[in-house]
Amino acid sequence: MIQSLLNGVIQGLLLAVVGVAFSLVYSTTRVFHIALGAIYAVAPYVLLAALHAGMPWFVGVGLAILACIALGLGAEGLVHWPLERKRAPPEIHFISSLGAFLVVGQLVVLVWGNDAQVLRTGVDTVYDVAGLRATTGQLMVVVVAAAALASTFAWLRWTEVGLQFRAMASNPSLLATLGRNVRRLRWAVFGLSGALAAISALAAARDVGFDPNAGMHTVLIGVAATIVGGRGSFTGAAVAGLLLGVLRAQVVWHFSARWEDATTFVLLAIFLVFAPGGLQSLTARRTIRVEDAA
Amino acid sequence: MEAATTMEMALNEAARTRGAAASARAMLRDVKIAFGGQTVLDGVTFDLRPGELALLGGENGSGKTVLLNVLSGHLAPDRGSVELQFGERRVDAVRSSPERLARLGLGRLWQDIRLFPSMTVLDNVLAGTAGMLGQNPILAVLALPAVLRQERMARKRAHQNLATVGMADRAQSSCDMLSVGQMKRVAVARLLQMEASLLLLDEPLAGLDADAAEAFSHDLGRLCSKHGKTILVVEHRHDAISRFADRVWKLNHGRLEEIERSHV
Amino acid sequence: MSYFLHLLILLEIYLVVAASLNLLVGHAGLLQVAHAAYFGLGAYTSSLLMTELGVGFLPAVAGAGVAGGALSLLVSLPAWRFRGDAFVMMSLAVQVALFAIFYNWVDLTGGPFGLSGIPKPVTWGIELDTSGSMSAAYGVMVALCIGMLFLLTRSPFGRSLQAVRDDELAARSLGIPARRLKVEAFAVASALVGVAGAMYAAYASYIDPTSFSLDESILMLSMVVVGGTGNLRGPLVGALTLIAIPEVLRFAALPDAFAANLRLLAYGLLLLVLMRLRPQGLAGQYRYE
Repeated sequence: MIQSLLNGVIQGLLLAVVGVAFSLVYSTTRVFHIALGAIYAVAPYVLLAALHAGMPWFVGVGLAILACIALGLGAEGLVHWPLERKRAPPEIHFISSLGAFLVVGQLVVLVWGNDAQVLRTGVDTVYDVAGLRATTGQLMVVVVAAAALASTFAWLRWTEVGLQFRAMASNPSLLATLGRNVRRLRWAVFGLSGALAAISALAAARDVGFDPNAGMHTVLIGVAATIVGGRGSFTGAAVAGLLLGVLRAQVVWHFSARWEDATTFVLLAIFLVFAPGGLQSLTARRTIRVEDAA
Repeated sequence: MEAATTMEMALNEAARTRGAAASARAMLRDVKIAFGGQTVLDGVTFDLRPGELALLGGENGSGKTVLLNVLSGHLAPDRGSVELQFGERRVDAVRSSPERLARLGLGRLWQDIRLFPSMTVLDNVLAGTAGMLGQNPILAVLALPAVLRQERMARKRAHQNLATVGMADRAQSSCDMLSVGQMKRVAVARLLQMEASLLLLDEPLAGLDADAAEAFSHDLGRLCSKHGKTILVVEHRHDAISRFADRVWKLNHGRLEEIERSHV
Repeated sequence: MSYFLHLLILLEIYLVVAASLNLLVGHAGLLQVAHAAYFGLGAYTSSLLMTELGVGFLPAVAGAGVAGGALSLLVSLPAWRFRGDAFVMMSLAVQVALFAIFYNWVDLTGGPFGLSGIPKPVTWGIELDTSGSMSAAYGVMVALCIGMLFLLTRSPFGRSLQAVRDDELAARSLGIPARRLKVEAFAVASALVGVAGAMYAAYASYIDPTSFSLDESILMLSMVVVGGTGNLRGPLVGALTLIAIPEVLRFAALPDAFAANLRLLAYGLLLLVLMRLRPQGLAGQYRYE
């Protein structure tokens, strides 16, 4: 039982990172960055390619992260900013993001094939502490994800740019008043989002392997985490990601791995209906809502 | 088919009755509303009686549009009561949704007009028609004869309403080919189609030249005197409308002042 | 010849898929990424009705439609805002949840192995076991569906829906019940795609979850967006394009495995380009303002 809790926390940390990655873009720019699913998928392949080319693993990791940052910046520069300049409605952004997802995702499949891959050969070392077991892969996940989350939140809390991110997230109409800075901030959210997705993808790939579809699947749970946590809240996305990981592990423990996804998304549906503001709204003080007036 | 015809007859009868009882009244009592510490409306009270045309003036940002939003059910005041009367029915605007008030007979002309851009002028007016059987998807397919008949009658009325506002010849135009004044006329025709008895007009004369403003004001006056509509006009340009207005109000720092006038 | 008929039947089925999604996306302005899930719900419902309960083809098709409509009501009736983002999220949730059910409820759906042995349609004593008879019968069914959609879009229902899509605030201020119309449009669209699913199941006589995945939903959405929204020509162009692309690719002698990916890639590019240059799609008339 504690073991499943531990597994849940480990998975939850990965989901927390992905949740924050999605929330970074969605909460600040309201762009439904579904293309993140493809960006996520690219990372392990870049690392694999680097390893096959004989490069040391940390260079490969660096390249993978850079690749995902570049893709994120590309999404903003080539797709979303031009649309934003034409003041396109959110639906257009979403459909374009879908287009980008398809293009990048399918390119991955065409270049590298559809099969599942692994980053390491052989069986992973298992550590046993007081009856709790964890593999090296899982421990790496914990370390990497925790570090990523910690640095992201520290940055959000203590830097000027981070403060602006938080401001954008809690009040998107503030965007306009930030003037010139908006462009730079948007680059930053898209880039950082790509980096976090890469980190999460690489850790997961090291742990359990990867395939082209893992990206969308994980990012969708990240989307769920963003909503459950409350849009506009990065902390919410992280907390919700963690909780979802724990919940999923419990479902696996008590029922079967088959029902992980159904549970996750039925939960999302329930939140959408009964608590659309997410966990954040359930715990926050009552806010007065002004009706949609002209 | 029989059921649809009976239903249709009942609906037409209801519409006629509503049109006949086209007397609407708006009563505000001590309405207060504040945004972020700033008091916008400070104890506004008025009684707009059936068939009256009231002109509401005031500085920019004095809360005129907020008052309209309160009347149309889009905004709930912090304090005070907003009671609307349509014919025999009294309704609390604070507790009602904008759609419900619209169905009872409240029509609003927006400051930015808000015609439906993908539709022709005629379709825009038709969109305002109330009580259409064909709005129900099941009836739209199964009760075709009745639906078509209703549609024909609605079209006739739409053409008449367009004629009333002087836009009869532009029925098939698309909206992006119209001038501001023409768009406003179409919007008014849409309100007529809706058989609204209480009209709230937000800056109807903005963007019109002196002659157009004069003509528009004249037509508004006629809507009251001949058709018995109750109209509240929020407008900067007093000169044109005040001639036709029964009441002239001014919002000053959230308070409503009635300007005494002798009837012309 | 029979290959041509095969394509024709696919076109007929996908025309209903496209036209129903068009009602939702083009007319009601709701982005649905779960259409394949409803398609699958219709397919599984009708197949199970026919194989487990011995129900006839037409009643099974009706059952599929009811299932689609019912699920949509279950999703849309509880009080929540039918606003853009919320709807997309909800449809994502429905898609993934439903797919998980198709894939994992092995006792009912056969899980990854799917359902086989779905009987060919039998109507009025005639078994439609040839491509010719099936394409003709399906042609009639499709004509009925399209006819119904045509009536709907031309009716006050369609006009009010268009008003809501153009400017919901203004529409509501005219008394138009925006929420109710969206619920109804959603129900009609979901019921129709359920019917298309039943037609697909009876034609293929074997179904498995991979035909009802998120990728398929994205493909369907792309089909409608590319073809053009807001009128009836768009879905036809969309369905034709969807079916034509793999055929064209086949001519280029590309391996089948890649063809599917290339089709998705082509759609991705089309979506990106169209959203920049011509958001109303190839044959559409509605412009997202």
